[in-house]
Amino acid sequence: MIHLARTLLHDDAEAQDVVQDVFARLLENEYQMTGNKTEAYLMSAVRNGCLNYIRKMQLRERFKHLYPLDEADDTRPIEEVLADLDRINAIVDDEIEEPQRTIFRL
Amino acid sequence: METNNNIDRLLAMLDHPERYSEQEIMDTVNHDDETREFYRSLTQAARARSSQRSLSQPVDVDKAWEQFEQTHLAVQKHGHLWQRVAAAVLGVLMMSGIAWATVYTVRHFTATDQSKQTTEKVATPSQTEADAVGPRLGVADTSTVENEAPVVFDNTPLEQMLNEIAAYYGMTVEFQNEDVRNLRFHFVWNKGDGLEKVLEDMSHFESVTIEQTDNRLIVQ
Repeated sequence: MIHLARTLLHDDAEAQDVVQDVFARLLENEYQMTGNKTEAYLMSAVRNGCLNYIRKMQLRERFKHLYPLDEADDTRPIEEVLADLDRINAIVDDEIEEPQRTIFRL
Repeated sequence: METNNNIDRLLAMLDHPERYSEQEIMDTVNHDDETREFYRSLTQAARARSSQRSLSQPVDVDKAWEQFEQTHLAVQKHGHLWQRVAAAVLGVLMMSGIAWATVYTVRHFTATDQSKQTTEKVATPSQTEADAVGPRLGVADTSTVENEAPVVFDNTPLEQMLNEIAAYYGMTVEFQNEDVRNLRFHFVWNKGDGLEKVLEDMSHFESVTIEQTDNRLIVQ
């Protein structure tokens, strides 16, 4: 959950806040999680929390943090999105030579 | 060429977004599909970089739970504290209400008792008065009864009989004929009757004549 939030927000502190909010809401609503959908539910909650956080920001701030500017975000399954990102990282590692790779990572 | 210029402008904007209006940013990003796709690639690259960096920084779950407890559970405890405070305030208010009601009730009953006692005290003199008056009233009642119940003089000397009757009507008795003083008669006296009626009845006595003059009954 933290990993997903960090990926979407590029900010450790904000990511932690979003995840904590998810658990806080679960506590408030005394939501009982059952079955094997727990993980999917929690991950969806984190993604929605992150998107809400981004949506509340001003457009200039969103642009500054390289967040998506349009409201319609990626609706694909989270695993798929993360897999895409892994592929991008792999391409960067494979295709981009130093010092460009370091520059990219910065 | 124009697209490249636009992308350059986009990159310049990313360095100093505060210098541009939101409309300018949107216009630049949405200038053409290529620029839009470029920006989307940037966001994906940023996410990819964040994802990679995140994986390299393992999460300390215990520390995260500790922080969660400190922030959110503290808030909940705070909430419970407020509930406790509210409950305590309600309790105090309820106890105050009960205490006030008790004091009011006690005072009310005390006042009632006092007023009762006062009434009784007030009643006592009147009763005393009534008691004082009572005998008189009793006498009056008795006299009334006596008025109603005739007094029977049986074989009673005339002097005794007349004295009693004269006293009742506020008269005095004067005997001109001393011989009749001790004559005994049988007479039924209705006190309700007037003096004239009584004298008339008594005039049936033989050898006795009773005259009324002013406040005197003269027996001849």
